[in-house]
Order: sequence, then C-alpha cells, then structure tokens
Amino acid sequence: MQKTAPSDLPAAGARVRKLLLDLHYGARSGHVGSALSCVEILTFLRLGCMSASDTLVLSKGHAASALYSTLAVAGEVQEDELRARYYKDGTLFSAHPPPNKISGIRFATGSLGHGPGIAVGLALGSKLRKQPDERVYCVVSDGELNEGSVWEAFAFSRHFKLDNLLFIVDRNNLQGFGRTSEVMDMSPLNEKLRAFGLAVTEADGHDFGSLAEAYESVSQAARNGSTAGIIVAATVKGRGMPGLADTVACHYVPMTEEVYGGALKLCGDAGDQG
Amino acid sequence: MRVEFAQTILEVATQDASVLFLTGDLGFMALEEVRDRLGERFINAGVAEQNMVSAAAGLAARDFKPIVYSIAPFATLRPYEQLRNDVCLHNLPVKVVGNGGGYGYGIMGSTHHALEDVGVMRTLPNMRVFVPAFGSDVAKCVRAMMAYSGPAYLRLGKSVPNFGLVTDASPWAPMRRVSQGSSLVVAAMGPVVEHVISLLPELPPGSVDLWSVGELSLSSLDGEFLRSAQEAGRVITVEEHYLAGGMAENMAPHLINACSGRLRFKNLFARGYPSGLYGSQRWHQDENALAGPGLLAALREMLGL
Ligand SMILES: [Mg+2]
Repeated sequence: MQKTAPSDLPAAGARVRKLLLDLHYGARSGHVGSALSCVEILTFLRLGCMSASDTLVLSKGHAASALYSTLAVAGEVQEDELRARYYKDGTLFSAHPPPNKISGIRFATGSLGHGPGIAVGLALGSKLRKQPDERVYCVVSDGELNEGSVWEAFAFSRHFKLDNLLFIVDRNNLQGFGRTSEVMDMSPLNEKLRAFGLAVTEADGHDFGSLAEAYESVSQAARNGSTAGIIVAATVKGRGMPGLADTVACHYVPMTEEVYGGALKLCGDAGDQG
Repeated sequence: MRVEFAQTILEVATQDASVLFLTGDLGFMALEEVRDRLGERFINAGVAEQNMVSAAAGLAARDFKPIVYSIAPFATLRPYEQLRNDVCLHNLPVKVVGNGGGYGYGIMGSTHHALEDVGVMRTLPNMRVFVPAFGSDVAKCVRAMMAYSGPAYLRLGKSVPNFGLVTDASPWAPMRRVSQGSSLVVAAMGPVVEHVISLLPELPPGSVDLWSVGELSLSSLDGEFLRSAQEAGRVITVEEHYLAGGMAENMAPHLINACSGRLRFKNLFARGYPSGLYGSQRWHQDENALAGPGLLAALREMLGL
C-alpha cells in the first residue's frame, strides 16, 4: 500500500469529493452533507497514513459514499464499478457499507456507536498478537458521541493502553434533527475526552496540513501517555453545497443540478474534468 | 454448571491459544482459576456489555475466538444489536455465554432472569444456540460451540445429574432420547428435564417417551422423535422460556408437517410472574408448572389419567 505524498493529498481529496458528488447526484441520494464533511479526513487516513496492516473503521457508516470514493481513488475499489452500481438494486454499494464484501471495509456500520467498540477490539487484538505495526483508525460523528457505547470504548481504550488506536471526530456541530449544541450538548467536549484519559488534539478537518500536524502530535502524546489518541476535527457539514452547507437539510436532501454544480467548484481540476 | 464450564474453558484455552475469555465483570467464586491461568487472554471488560461484544467482534477479526460471559440477560439482551451487526452479520466466531438461563437467578428477581434469551438469540443470522441439560453436557456443548466456525450462544443453568439415562460417552446431539415409552412424547429443553425424570416413577411404566433438547434452532427434528410423535399422537413440551421464540414454537412446523390432524400438542413454558411474586428458581418453576404438582397434572392429563 503506497502512501500518497502530503503535497498530493489535496488533489486526491478533490478527486474523492468529485466522485462522491457524482455518485450522489446520479443516484439522487441523501447523506451528501455527512460524506462531504469527512472527505479530507478519510483521504488523509487512507491515502496519507495507512499502511497495509492498518484497519479503518468508519463508525459513521452513513458517510459510506465518501469511503467508497476514497477506496476508489486509492485503487482498492474499481471506480467504474462503483459509478455503475452505487445505490442501485442488486449492489454491494449500499448507502451504508455491507459486511464482508468490499476490500478495505472490514465491518458493516450504520448503527451509530458500534465502531469504537470494534476498533478497541482490533487494537487489543494487535497488542495481544504483539503486532506493534498494526494501527487502527476509527472515524466517529459528533452526533454519535451521544451513544453511551462510544464512551464505554473510550474507557476501554485507556484502560488497555491502546496507543495503536486513533479516533477522529468529524465535528460538524450538526446531527439528525438539529445543531449538536441544541440537541444534546456534549460540551466541553475536549475536557470530557481528556477526563476519559485520551490524548486529545484539535485540527481543521478540511486541511491536510492541519490534520498531519494533529496526527503527529496526538500519536506522540498517545504513546507517551499509553492511551488512545483522538483528533477533534472541525468540519463543515455539506461543505461546498451552495445554500445547504452547515444545515440539517444537507443530511437528507438530494442535490439539485444547481447545488451539484456549485459543490463541484471545490473540486478544482478534478471538478473541471467532469 | 459454572464449575463444569470453567473446567472445560481451561482445557479448551490450553489447547488453543486463540481462545480469549471476556467477562462483563462477573465470575466471583467461579472463574478465578480461569483468570489466573489465562493471564492476558482473560479480559475483564468492565460493566459494559455493548462494548464487550463489539470488542469481541474486533478481536475475532484478528483471528481470536473470544468467549463473552455475563449473566444471561446481560449477555444477550443488553448488547443485542452489537451481536446482530458486529458479530452475526460478519459471521465471526464470538461465543456468548449466559449464566443462569430461565429463572436461574431465582430470588435475585426479574431483572436477572432470562425467559426470552433463546428466542432472541435464535433470530440472529449464523447463531447456534446451545442449552445443555445435564452437568455432563457442558463440556460437550463448549467443545461443539468452539469447534463451530461462527457465532454461538451457550445458556448455562443449574447442573443436574443425568441419572445414568444419557451416557457421558455419547456425542453431542441437539435431541436425545432419555427414556423410552409409547403413549406420550415429552420434549424438555435444558435442565428442566430433571423434573420430568423425577416424576417418571409416578406415571405408568413405559408410557413416557422423554427427549432432552439441547440445541436450537432445530432445522429438522430427530426422525425417531417424529415417528414416536406420529404413533403416540400426543406431544408435550416443557421449557423454562417464554412460548415466543422457544422450543415449542420451533418444533411446531415440523410436527404439523409430520402429524397433520392427528396430534395433541400441549406446551408448558415460562409465563413470567403470574402471581406477581418472587422466589427461588424452583418456586418459579412450580408456579409455571415446569416442576412439581403442576407438571405432574399436565403429564397425567395428557396421558388421560
Ligand atoms: Mg455531525
């Protein structure tokens, strides 16, 4: 598994963004906002960080299109097959990822709060097998932090010293039916995470430089503290969608031609091609 | 059955280094030796069953065979969705062990009883459900469960003797004949079979064809059992479990197909808390006609006595 050079990550991210926009526009499917929110996070992890022995768990399974697209840009999923089959009857590329079928997707997710528990099991398994090179990455949404099972997993990761595990929170401040501060205010979030014993840092979740910096510092802090790391990545849900970015609606509504065209503008050269 | 269970786990874990034991902080006065001998392969996951099951799925994805242990309702109901999504949809070899099936926790009360565990576990894809009847079954069940490549549930109960009716040497089977008879077929799930055995001397010799059921779902019924049901025309089921999802419901389609129009099918099962009162396991079994006079009356009635 070849890592993408840091200087090439923005272009790769733009290709992922373009591909998932095409998929959603073609399928008239929802959850666009959730996928756009974590494009750079997934691109950074899969293309910039991971080696072949690493495992990624997308706990916010409703952003599956972003994961499929990332895997396509990484060459692990056939892009033409994804474009042809996404969201259609008789597909493997359902709106939430399926079990045991797609290379690069070890676990079916979609019910929130499951990924962190799976991730601590994977990380502990690597510890028990004495495989220090195996790392586990788990991407959770901020609404998902309402689930108690997430905090069970955080406690477990601290207790079992899982410094081979990194969580990333896609902190877009929105959840199913409102702003996180209004629905279920988890603030002060960083203090809560710190109180659970995790190594916490923040990043701009759309900026590869910021993510790389946070990754270095949190990995170091996790090793020093014998605990899991967590990056709270500030993101914008529906980033680039005209009139819909940072709204609850971008979780649900399919894109119009106008919104699709506007959202492509953030894709740079990749957008121009299509 | 905890003693037999712990002993077998020690044997299995010694033979297979991929066996892990996860507990939801239970095992006092039962699993100390397992903890001490397994070392880092014994994982106390704390009082957090949802995470324990998801973590077990992750560990299974690393080619371990994790056993997750708790009191039956906490092992099956609290983490039900984790079992469905993380374990069963991926067909991972996670083995769920619930102690105190049925009214096993007696006076501890209703929160600690498991009257629906078999039913809900049965609905899960790839899940095999084991309900050992006798103490001598436990080792066989554990070995069968660990040899299976997918997920399984083991319902542990009170350890009852097999009175020499089932040989310790015989291999594990989902259904086994315990005593032969020709007038009435009795199928009992798990350890309640002991109560039927204890009543046999009070019934006409050779009248009761008694079967012990130790595994669900029964995708088919034993051929001998079906022949016996056809000939007797009378089957009674006894299970420490709600009717919904239990053994009787599981048997019914097979019996309907085999004995259409010529069968009396009576079901004894856990009705919960009919009086609204609580007591020992035996007290609840008596109240639900799963033991004692109520069970005897039902057997006699089915025999036309
Ligand atoms: Mg959110």
